[in-house]
Amino acid sequence: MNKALIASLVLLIIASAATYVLRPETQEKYPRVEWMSDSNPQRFEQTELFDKWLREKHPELAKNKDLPAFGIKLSASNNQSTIIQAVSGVAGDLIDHLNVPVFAAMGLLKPLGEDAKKQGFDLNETYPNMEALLGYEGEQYGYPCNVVVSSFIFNENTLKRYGMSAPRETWTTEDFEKFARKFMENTNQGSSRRTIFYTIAAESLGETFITINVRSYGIDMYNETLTKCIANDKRFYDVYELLYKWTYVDKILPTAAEVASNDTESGFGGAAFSHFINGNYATIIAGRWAMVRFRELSESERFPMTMTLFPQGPFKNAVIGTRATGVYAGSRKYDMAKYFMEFLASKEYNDYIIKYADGLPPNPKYAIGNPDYLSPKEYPNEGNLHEKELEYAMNYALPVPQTPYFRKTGTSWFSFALSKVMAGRATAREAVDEAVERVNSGIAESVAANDNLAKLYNRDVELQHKIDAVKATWKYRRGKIISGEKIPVNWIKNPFYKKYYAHLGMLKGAE
Amino acid sequence: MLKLTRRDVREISTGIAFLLPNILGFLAFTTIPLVISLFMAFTDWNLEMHNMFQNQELRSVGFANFKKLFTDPDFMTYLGNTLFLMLGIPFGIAGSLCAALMLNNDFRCSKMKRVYGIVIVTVVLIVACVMLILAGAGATAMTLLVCGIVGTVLVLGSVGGQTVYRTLFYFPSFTAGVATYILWKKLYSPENGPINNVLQPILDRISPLAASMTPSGANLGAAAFLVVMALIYAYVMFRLILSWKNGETGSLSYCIALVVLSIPMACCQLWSTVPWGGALGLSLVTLGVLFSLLMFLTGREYKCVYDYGMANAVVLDGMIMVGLFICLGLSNVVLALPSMASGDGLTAPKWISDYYWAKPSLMIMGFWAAIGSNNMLLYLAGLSGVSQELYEAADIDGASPFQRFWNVTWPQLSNVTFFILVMSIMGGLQGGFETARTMTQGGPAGSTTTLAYYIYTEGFNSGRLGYASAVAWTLFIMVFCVTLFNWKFGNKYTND
Repeated sequence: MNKALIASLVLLIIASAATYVLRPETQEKYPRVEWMSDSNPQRFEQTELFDKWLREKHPELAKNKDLPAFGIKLSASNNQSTIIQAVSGVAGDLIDHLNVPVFAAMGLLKPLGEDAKKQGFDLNETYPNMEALLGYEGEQYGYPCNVVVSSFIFNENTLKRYGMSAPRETWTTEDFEKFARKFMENTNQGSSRRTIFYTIAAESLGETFITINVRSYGIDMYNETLTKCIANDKRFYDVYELLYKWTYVDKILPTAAEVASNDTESGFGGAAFSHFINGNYATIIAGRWAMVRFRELSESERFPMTMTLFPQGPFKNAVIGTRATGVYAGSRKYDMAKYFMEFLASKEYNDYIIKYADGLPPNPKYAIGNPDYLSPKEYPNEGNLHEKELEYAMNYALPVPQTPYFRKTGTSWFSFALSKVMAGRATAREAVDEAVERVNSGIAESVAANDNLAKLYNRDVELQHKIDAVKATWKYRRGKIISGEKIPVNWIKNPFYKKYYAHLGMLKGAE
Repeated sequence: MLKLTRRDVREISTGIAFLLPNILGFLAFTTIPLVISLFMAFTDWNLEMHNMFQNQELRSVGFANFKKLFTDPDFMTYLGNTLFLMLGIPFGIAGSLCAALMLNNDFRCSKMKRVYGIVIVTVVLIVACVMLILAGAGATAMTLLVCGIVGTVLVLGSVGGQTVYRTLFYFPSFTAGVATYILWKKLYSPENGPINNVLQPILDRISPLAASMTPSGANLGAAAFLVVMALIYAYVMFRLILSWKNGETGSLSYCIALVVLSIPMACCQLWSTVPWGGALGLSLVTLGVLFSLLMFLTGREYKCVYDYGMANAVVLDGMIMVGLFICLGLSNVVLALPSMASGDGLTAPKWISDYYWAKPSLMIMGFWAAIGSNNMLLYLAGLSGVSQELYEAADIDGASPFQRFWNVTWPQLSNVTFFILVMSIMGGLQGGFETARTMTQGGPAGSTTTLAYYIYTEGFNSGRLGYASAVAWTLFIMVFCVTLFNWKFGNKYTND
């Protein structure tokens, strides 16, 4: 028996050693930095481009002229698995995420500090109002890989088929409704089942639509210092009711059941893209990145497109987002990883993004005035959308509302509120009020549990009191401010209010 | 005292060494995480503050996480969802018993019948496929296709007998869960799924009839269902009292059965849309309780232990409870039928896209999976253990097939039934994760979020590991209570 045991043990040890020796990492001839990103097929090409760029720009790093100094190993991962791996200490060296501040606040990313400035990938090199997406407490933690300003993209062929032409670039919700009604009246005639829709379902329009709409009327989800959720306001209730009305009363948006019934093979970008291509949706919400999918179509299948802003009120705005890369706090290869960040800000990478339309390039200077970006010769059908998205990013874009005191890693209570309204489980007021209560109690819980956060929170609450005192001096006539003190810009943490008060002329110290 | 020789020690050490990898694995992946999760449940462990790189002080919160559970509306809602989904368990058990009873027979038939069957089924299948492909006659073709598939199964059974059916019925158990969930998602597609393709034409036919129903007709229909409900309740109570008096049901079992049966009657007060429905339910419950008190006070001639007949009390009365709920639901539906049918007519359910239908949809799917599950195998094993002598005795007494089942099979299977019930309740409490994750993401509006899915979202989406552990341990306590129930009452009174 003993012999059998020892033999098994020896066999296991030999097998373990062989596995260790034969694993891909030990077979590599040069070190590799692991990049956790999405499953976009273009990432592979981007890693190859990086190898080339590194050899050309930093030949001094290579110890052997036949081998690169280091390479990138791509590992596809979704947001949730990334976060679980990161907190467990086993994430890749470079992490892509849509919400860098969440990662930074959890201590999962290295601050980029002076290296960002020295190597040319600091916040000045990207779009305005991106601090909230890339930084935390004044430190930069990430740099964009690609940027998106979600807007409505129209398939002009579909519109034409139903006797319509593209709408105006800026429009109100009333214009949007009128246009959609007309489209829906012209389609699905004589059919017992609707298969052609104006756009995606209300649940998918979701928070982006709501955020843009309420901001255009001068309110955001959080107050100026991000210490409190203030969405229990008529402007929020109205937009929730509007989405319900558009779905079940006016029937201009598909219901969840209709979306489920028209579910299809999706491919990159999801089922909505397939419907858009096939003319089942007149418009979708996307950015330039959607061209990755649409350019796969043959020339005869391509269709002309046009882009518009979200329908909204007087204060024009849009939502900007980015898939940004940061360096994992547990990485032992920071010295290598920082070159990848430099690569993201380089002309070569930006040109690649421009050429293959994987969103807006991280550094806008490579797009502004660049004819290759503004009107790609091979794709005349893409119309104005490159120009428009860049314009929106530079002039109107603001990040999604978020507070450092309540992290949106779990359920989004405002999306949950929308699903309750759409399911007829609550009125808009009840659902939104419940979401506000959940968020505010979440803030209270986070602050109570975290002493470091509590210090920052108390500081910001003090500032909020000061802001409220200043606002109390404002005098209004017909809803417009006619006099009052201005608020110092450095008191305000919410990027929306910085921009909005500057627009109203009530900000002090802004450039 | 036992003296161990050197050889004994060596052999024991060798044995332990062989077992060690398994023991270490169990310790590393089960015991230690279990202990850590128990510890977590009493702390404010949150991934935002407590992870590899953020070592803020971990605070003990005592029972705060557990207290929070009971004030957290989400926990109560998701517990409610879990319990609601468990209402399908009695049907699953009944289905698997029926399947086992059927599969206990042989179905082989004569050669000529098989040939006729094959010819008919082939023709139906070909016609259905041609209609689907060429004529596009969706609903009719789909109905034909379903009939054809059913016919194929019958023909196969006539050739292969038990083996074919047993394999087919056991199919859901060895098919990968995710694959079947995706299949059901397609079946449930509201406008072009096969279920609604069959259902909608039927509803279209019924709609004019329903719309033409007068308000008094609707009231009468609704009242009829309530009366049926009251009659069932009265009859079952009568049988229960009789069986207690005859010493076939213990006092505890009687009380449990009374509570189980009275729940739907009490719910009439809340849910019945017939004006007098609530009063009817409440008065019947009152009468039931009064009769029971009177009965306990007067005593009985034949005595038995207090927990005798527990399996019947829980399983049978559980099934009757669900049946009573269905009557209540049908009563409400009939009352609302004319208004539902007017306008666009009756529409087929939106299944998992609809808040109110999402849970029943998952229950139907669960029922399908339960019929041919391990429960069926357990029943088949149980049936093979029933003594033929008992059936022969029943035959000599001139028992009908139902009486054979009721007086021989059912009592002989009571221990199997009880075991299945307990295991199903445990499974039900812990279930719902895969379906929520694959089919519904817990929606619409949280309607299909069960406790298991809630633990996952709290732990791995929100990062609140302390709270998620508290929910998990609360779930464990519930499951443990069911286990205790099984220890106490399971495996008793077989063959009595």
